Amino acid sequence: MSLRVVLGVAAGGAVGAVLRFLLDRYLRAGILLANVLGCLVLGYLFGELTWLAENGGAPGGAVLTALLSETGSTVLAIGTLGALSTFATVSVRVAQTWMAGRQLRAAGIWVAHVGLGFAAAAAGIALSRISGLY
Amino acid sequence: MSSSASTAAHRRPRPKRPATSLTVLVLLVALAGAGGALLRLVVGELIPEQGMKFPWTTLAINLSGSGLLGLLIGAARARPSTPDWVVPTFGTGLLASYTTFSAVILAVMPSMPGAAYDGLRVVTYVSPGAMEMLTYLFISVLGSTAAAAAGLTISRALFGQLGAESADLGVSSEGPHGS
Repeated sequence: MSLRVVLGVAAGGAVGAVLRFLLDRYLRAGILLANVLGCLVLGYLFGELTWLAENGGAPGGAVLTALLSETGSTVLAIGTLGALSTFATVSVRVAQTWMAGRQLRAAGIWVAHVGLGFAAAAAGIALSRISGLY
Repeated sequence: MSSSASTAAHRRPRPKRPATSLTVLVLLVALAGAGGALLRLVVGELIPEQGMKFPWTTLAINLSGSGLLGLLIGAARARPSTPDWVVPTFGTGLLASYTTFSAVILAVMPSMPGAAYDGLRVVTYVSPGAMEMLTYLFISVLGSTAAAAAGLTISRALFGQLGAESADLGVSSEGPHGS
């Protein structure tokens, strides 16, 4: 684990956390949006990396090359997207809702996160297939 | 605002703290968020998921993070005197960043081949069946929620319950003295 990765993940984590904090502060479904965004971009990243691993070849621009490098993808996936998306916040809110006697609503929160998360990840993978950025 | 003279000698009036500014909160969340992501990176290094059939490390992170956040939120709920920067820093910043959702969803995506990229130290797994992955997802969701509920309950027992049970309940608690 290189120092560059450590510093990058720290910086990426800070960005992801602040973005989620602001989304949660100003939007009603801020945490849901943060999780969906995280799944979308991570799906895109995985799709790109899979394509590269299978086909070789260098990605297009300098920015994309940097983002898809080993360090770049780790910083993005573990740092930014890892911190942007969250499991604990959803768990606590569902637990609170459940304990307040609203079991159906509690279940609905998880269904929304998982369902939309899946859809966003699939959309991200599809985007990577059609983006043609190579 | 100054409260009227309290007749109850055992109740000290609390000094009112000035609200923490948004700039300071953002800086605290950034610092703690960096810490949370680093913590997850380190745990992933210590217990690498490469070659695991399921992303157990991610599950352990989400279980522990959810339980701890339950403890924190429960404690903050029970004690209104908690400074307004504590939950954003240690909850939104540290613990919520430590846990992750996107990696879990990508891990259980049926269309994702395992180990997409050797250098990518995110969830990699050995091409499991869809049913197995759905079971893993179920364990993650139910386990983390149970851990959060346990944390909330333990905090409530430790710190006593003052005020409403949940943010979702807009019910005002009955004061000790009638109107």
